[in-house]
Amino acid sequence: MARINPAVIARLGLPLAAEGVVVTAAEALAARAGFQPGDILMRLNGETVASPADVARMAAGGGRRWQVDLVRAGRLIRLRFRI
Amino acid sequence: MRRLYPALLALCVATSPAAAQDVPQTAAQIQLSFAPVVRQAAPAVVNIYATRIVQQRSSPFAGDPFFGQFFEGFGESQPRVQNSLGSGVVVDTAGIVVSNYHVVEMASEIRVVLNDRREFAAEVMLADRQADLAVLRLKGARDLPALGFRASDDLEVGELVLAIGNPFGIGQTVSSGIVSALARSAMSVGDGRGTFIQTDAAINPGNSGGALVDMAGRLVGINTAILTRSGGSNGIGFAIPADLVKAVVEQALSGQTEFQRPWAGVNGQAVDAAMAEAMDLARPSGVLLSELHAQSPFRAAGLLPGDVVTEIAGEPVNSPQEMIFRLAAMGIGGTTDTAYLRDGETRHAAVALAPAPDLPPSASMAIGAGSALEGRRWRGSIRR
Repeated sequence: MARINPAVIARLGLPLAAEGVVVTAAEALAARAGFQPGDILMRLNGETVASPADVARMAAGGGRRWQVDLVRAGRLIRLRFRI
Repeated sequence: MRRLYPALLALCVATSPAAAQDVPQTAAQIQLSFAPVVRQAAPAVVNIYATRIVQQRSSPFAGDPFFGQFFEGFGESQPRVQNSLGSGVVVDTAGIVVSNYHVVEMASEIRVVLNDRREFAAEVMLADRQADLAVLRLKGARDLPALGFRASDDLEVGELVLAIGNPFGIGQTVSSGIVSALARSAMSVGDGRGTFIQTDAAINPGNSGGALVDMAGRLVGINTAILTRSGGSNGIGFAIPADLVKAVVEQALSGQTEFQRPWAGVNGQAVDAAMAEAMDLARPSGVLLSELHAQSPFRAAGLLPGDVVTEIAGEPVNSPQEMIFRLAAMGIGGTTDTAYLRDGETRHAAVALAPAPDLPPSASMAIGAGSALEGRRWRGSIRR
């Protein structure tokens, strides 16, 4: 994942107004949970994420139930899963 | 009659320089033939044979994150060799060849065959999917015949052009036509944001990467795509303009492996008739900017949403694709003069030609093992 900036927007073809964190590759568990490259992460368990460090911190915090709000191809999508 | 003589004389004087060029000088020229052009240009057009190894998925669910887990280790994927053929153009005597990205994409081995049947192995110096261009270096080649570039700006609709390539792999083939249109966009080539020269010279599968040359044997464009329902040529072919090809080749020669294009950071749309009327323009022209990124060089140069960009570097632009093409063809570095309309008044701004800034730092990272969202292979189960 990466923080969205002009270089990332140009490389991944994201909308000009995109902000936050984008998924650049999803493997193993993340792929099974339904993440896809190009997904723009908005909220993890209701908490807004602004940088990859935010996501890493929350993921390290653990928890079994996850609710992820993300934007994929212009649509707001909610992923819910248990691990 | 006596009055007519001075007029005739004046006419003769006025037309004589052009007439001197047009009058055939030799018997060979009296016969209308493209042979002299072909003789000059054809040796610089090469055939390209690329081999790539693709992993054939044997399970229909392989790659699917959910169903794939039931088929893990069931029928391992088999490597399969896939061949592709295309054309290329020698643009530097030291063995620099330009072709289409889609011809050499993912190739593990590339062989290039010259028109005199010499063969070379080639390596990719620079590949750019967005422009659908790739630059190759032929190993051990020197003193090859090369084509010069024809500036795209003075190219006109109606000019005679020749397409040279290797259609269907049958061997080098020359076909003739004219420039049918300029600055064609909305083709699904590369990322669909390019502009192309349209020609009715027959272009078929295998012509990709080949040359479109003018009557002086200069490279007008790289034949890239066709519009067809049958699969064969319907007289609507598209070539990447030489200006962009030249910019890509120059970056490859300077050691870049990726094409650096200036970033516009704007969204816009072509001005149509209704918009032109609403904005009191004499005729529909230019690109209306609807959105500018906070870090856009256009914003930094003073442009705002609602401005209509009419010219870049003195050349008119009428679609977002043309804007992107103009910027890409100029490459990185310095500024470009941009003319735009605001409140009916033409203004000018110097816009920086720079790649998209990596600021704030993208801080790319992967979530590692031991956390709830780890990116490594995971043995547990997951329920939705």
